Amino acid sequence: MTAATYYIAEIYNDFAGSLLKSQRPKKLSEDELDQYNVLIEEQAFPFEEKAIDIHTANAERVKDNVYDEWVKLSIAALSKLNPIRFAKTEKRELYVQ
Amino acid sequence: MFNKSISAQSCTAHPSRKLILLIGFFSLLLSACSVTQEDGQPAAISNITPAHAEALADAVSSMKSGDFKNAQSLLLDLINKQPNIANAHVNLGIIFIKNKSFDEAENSLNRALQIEPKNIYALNQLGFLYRRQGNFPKAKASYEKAIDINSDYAYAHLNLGILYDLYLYDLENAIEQYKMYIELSKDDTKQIEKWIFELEKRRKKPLAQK
Repeated sequence: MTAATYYIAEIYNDFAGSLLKSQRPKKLSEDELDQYNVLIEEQAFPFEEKAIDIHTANAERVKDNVYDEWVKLSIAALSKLNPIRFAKTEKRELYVQ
Repeated sequence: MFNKSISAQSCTAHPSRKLILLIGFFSLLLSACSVTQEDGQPAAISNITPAHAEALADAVSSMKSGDFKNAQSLLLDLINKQPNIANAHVNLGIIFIKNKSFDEAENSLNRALQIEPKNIYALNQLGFLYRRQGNFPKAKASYEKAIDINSDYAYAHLNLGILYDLYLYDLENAIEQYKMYIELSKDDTKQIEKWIFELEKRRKKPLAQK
């Protein structure tokens, strides 16, 4: 269940990433290229949002005492997709003397 | 009572090595005075010598320079000669965590707490370890105990806040702990203020559907 959720989220995330990295048409002027990039970002955004929602649903399974590798991976993915909420790392001494 | 703890980021000025060793030696002596046996009776003051202090300083020096293999070897040798130096076990625990040897890390940190039950650094490392294992009640208990011992220990407040926030979904307590951390720490407070802002917004919204 958690693995399936993780992979579904990653499909959306990969698709958004692929759209953003897709090849641009040749022979576009600078203005046309800017416009094209804005359109691509608009197309990719909903897929990224979907990925965030699904990963978040997986991450929130900790409330039901589910904290397996896939939940951990969803939290790790969210630390990049939604850093304000998820990129939180504990602080520890690196040594004591 | 507590030996001084230094994180790599905060270590900027170094007095002479002799002074460090002297301070380390007296810290270890103080630490030895707090040694408690398993039956709760205080142990006799251990035979801690300047050579032990020097060995610990050498191990810490290796950790600072990233030579963890050498540090581990020095610490094991020191523990073999003098097993009642709590911070030697804490440092060994830190190295085991770094090497992802989590069972060994837990053993070392628990040993440090047997020697010195109020070692907040061991409690903080254990809190992290338990959180990583998904044992959130034990992680919470470790951080809370560190805070009970020393309420000014900023790291325990931050880590307890993260536990409440990401793993227990207790947003109220997360905000409270983050605010305590900001009060106590001068580092990265703007970042933590952003976290609080986001939490306060989320507190008003329902959680994402499963």
